[in-house]
Amino acid sequence: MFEKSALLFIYVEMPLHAGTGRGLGAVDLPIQRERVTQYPMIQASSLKGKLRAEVRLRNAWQDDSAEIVALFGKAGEAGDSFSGAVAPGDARVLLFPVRSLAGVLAWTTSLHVLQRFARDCAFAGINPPALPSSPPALGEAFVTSDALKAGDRVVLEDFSFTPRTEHKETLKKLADWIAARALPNTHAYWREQIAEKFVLLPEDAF
Amino acid sequence: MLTPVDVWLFRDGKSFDAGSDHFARSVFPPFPTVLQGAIRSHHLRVKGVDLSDPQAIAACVGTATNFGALRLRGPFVARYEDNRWVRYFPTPADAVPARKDGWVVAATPRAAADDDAQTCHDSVLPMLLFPPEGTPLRKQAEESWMSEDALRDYLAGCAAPTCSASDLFTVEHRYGVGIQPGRNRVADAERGLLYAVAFTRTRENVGLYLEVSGYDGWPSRGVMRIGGEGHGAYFEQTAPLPWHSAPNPLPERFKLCFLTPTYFEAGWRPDRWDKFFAGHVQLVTVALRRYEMRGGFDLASRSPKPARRFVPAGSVYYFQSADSARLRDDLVNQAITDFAPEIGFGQFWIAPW
Repeated sequence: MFEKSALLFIYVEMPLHAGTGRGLGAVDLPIQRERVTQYPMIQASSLKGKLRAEVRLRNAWQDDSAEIVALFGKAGEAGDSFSGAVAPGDARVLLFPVRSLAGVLAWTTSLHVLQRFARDCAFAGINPPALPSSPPALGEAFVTSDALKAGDRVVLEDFSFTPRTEHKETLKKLADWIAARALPNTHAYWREQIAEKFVLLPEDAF
Repeated sequence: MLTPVDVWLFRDGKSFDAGSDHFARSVFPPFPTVLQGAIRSHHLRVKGVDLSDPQAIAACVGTATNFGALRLRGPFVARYEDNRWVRYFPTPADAVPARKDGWVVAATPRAAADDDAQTCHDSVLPMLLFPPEGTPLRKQAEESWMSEDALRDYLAGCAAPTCSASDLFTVEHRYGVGIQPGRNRVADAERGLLYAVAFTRTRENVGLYLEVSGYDGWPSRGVMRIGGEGHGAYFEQTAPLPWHSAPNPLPERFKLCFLTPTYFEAGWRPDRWDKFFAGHVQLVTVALRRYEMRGGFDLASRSPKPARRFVPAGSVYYFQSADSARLRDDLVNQAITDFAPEIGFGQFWIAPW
């Protein structure tokens, strides 16, 4: 049974490929995606393996040490194996960087993603700032500043959106909150950038 | 209500060790045995029981065969729609396609001897099920689901809409390799340890509804471990949904539709119906789907549990009674089953036919 839950933020510094092996379609090595939404993700089993390896290396423990086995479980013969105390879930996308015509890049998200994040926060006993009550209309995007405006449009990859600022303060507060928790203290510049280039897109666009 | 943190894995009981077996499958909804384990485990945490003290554990949640005060009804698939939770049940096995696409209607029992084309011997079951008059004979309706409102209409004799399982949940295949202990790269994968696991991912606003009684002190919401690979479920206490109580006394002709799997020692029916009914009842016909074989693994003794053949949810039994039969007052958890009535097996709705 779980006694505590916490959120772990992963900030991707280099291109990430959490793969599913060989694909039969146009992509030879597809990435892991949620079946229903097709959002990119990192499966819990992958995450757990990396956490196990990281904890082992940092503490110079053996893989079969009592600490590692208690935390992450033991794989053995039937009746000899058991699950560990730590059970990570899937790593889910929260902010997705997208090339922008102005401002170099934007951190995009959707209300569906934020609602799911808010639910995870609630069950972890964390209170995030409020979210907008409704998503932007098709063709529009909620922005937190003028940093991404090219003329009177926001152009992300090949898609053009009408920028809307009525939720600017709400989103800026949320972006600051996420950046403060997701990025280490050494990344002050990037924390500011996230807050400035935060974009809420319609569900279908995201 | 239980909603998944991400995906769920409820194994089907077949052996799997990611070595010689390369594919594991999840079933959904899970069997009551899975939920009782999760609920009892979490109850130990709620009550702060010392897990190294077997007596304290037994005092709190009972043993492998004694469930103590715990009573469960479910689990049932449920979806949040129109500002309320709506349960979904497997379409009963006596359903036949109605004229409208995606709708079904109950088949009609008729004496087998009336139909010259039948060669059924009536010593076992005197009736067979036929499509309603004027409905062409077609294949049994594909396995599907219906909401509780639709099921009520269906049991009342009306045509009712169904939905596909994929409207409620879907399968997400995940692949894994075993890494050599102490190593860190896929290149160090253990030989032969390539496996695929079919997880269940529910659609938006879909979860499991479970009625729990006999335990107190739980918070109104939280997270618990459930199923395989330590995946989590968010739980939230919610207002109980109404249950379709059996009429008392029972109608002269009534049908029993199982909403959760059930188990009878004698196979697809019990050796005696008077274990469950007061007064004489005669089984006249039945609509069954293939049995579900389930076993599991006993974590306490670290050994496999015996596998049993369960009558699946959606099975329908048709009865006639000469006098005013009724359900026995001493039914455990209002269930009709020879196995673990306390934890949700053998739950049913009754309707006249």
